[in-house]
Amino acid sequence: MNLPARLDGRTRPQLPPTHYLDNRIYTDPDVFETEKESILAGTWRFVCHASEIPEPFDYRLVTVAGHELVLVRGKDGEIRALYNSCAHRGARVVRTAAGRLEQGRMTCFYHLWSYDDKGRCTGISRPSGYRESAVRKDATGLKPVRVETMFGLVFVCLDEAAVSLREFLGEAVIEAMRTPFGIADLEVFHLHRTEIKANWKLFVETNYEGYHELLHLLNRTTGVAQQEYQARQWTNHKRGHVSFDHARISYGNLNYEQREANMMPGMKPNGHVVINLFPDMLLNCRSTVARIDSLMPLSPTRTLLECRGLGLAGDTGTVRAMRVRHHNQVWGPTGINLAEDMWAVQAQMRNMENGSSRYSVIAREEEGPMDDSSLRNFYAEWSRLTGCRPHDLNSGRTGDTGDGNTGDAATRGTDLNPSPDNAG
Amino acid sequence: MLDNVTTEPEMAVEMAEQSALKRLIHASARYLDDHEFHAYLDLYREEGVYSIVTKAPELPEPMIWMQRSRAELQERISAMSEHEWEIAGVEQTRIVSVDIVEVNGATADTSSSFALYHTGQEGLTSCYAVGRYDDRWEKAADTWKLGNRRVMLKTRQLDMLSPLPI
Ligand code: FES
Ligand SMILES: [Fe+2]
Repeated sequence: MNLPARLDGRTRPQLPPTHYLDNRIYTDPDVFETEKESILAGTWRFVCHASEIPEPFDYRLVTVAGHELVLVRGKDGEIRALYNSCAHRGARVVRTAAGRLEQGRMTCFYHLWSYDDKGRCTGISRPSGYRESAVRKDATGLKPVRVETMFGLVFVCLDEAAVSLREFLGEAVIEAMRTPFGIADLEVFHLHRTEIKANWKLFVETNYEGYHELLHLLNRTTGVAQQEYQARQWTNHKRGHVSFDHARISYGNLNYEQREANMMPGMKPNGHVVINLFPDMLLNCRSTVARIDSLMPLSPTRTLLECRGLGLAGDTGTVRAMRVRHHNQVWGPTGINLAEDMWAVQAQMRNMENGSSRYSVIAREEEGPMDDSSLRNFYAEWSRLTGCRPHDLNSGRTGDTGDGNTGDAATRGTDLNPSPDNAG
Repeated sequence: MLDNVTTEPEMAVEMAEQSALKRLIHASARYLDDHEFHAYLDLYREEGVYSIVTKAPELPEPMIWMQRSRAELQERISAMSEHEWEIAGVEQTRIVSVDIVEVNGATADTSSSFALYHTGQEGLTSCYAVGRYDDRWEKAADTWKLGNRRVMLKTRQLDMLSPLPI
């Protein structure tokens, strides 16, 4: 590859179009609207873990692409998702974040229409008033949304025409997720949200690239310097998902306790697993404890991050306390890494929002953890779904130019066939 | 004289204990505001424990967001990276109201409401978190020391994350 003539963040880089980004993808309101439709509403999105609604009639409110849904476990054990919007005149039917439906019913407070755990209307108050019209309870309900689960991870998709969750993930990704999510029953013990003043993709990128491990004291000290760690590579799966080779972490280098006992199923002592599901589900496991991050983009420049910590269902008190301790060491609001990631993306956003930074470089090609092919894989899929060119918003829609990496084979390491269209 | 009647001298002692504890609680807030961590940690017994606990409606059990002994707190603060200081280095102001003081011989339980404000470099102030300090104090050598401080956090969306005690 030719060296760029000038690289200053403001001049278009002389790089293949796959290797840099037009930063307006992070700020442009039209791009955000397109993403909302084609990505946030158009793909399978993680909403919660099945352990959060364990019993029949347990429910929880979740938000997908700005829509509030009631996620409810039916009497039959099935998890369903319903728009939380009354069929009568649109009032919010369920108004508490989580709970159990009383007698399996949801009653709208406004004019008292009621619905069952499947969203079917069970009662219309004073029905005689509708005698002359076509309003009948048996043809009325809360609109359902597709729900599928994989290893207890609950996903919903607002697009009725989308492929199944299994096809969306692909067999290789499902296999990668099995450790630690698919071997035994897990349980969520930690849940927190924080608003990041940055575009959602910037936060996703923090888990899609290994280069910024140089930012983290923890990673610098306990990971990066090790020979074995340097051999770690990204596997780029179809539809923008990626997984990172397992690595071993030297917690002792930072005087942290080693993670060698009571590991999560399938994990090696001090092992580390990273799997990222397009568009915004980030899975991490550090030997004894797992973390799932997901995002609720609020605007081009604001994102709600939701973080979960998971242990094993049935953990003893001592083991759970150890998992909580290990979780909080690295993650959570008081952990060492999350604060740094938030800080980094907010620092980027500032300059992207004010226009000081117009282009970003994602051009690293090397065998090892700091290769940027994982980011290029993300943007190939992003481009395929939005129809926008991530390197040049002005050049219009891509159409079906084959920019996306949707072939069947996963790719290891460096490149994803940069498109011949070099706008440089 | 009836056993359960508090005499005037006893009342005076109790009031003195109460105001001593109140002074310590306010001092703990001021030490944190001023980043005087040695003085702050000195309020704890050697085996004293600090924790941050919060309850989300989505989970059945309260969550522990931090739990450290005095020594672990000390170690974590002294190991904070330059980045962590840059992130957490905002001006802090705690407004504390001591609501309950119960003295039982050599132990005491106190509960105080607090609001923690942050002021950034631009001079903009916002409320960062509110909650309660639920403290267990123990008296040794005539001095009250914190055996346990549990920060019951009501705010669950924190806009800046940090390992510093709240
Ligand atoms: S809006 Fe729900 S019953 Fe009228
Ligand atoms: Fe990171």
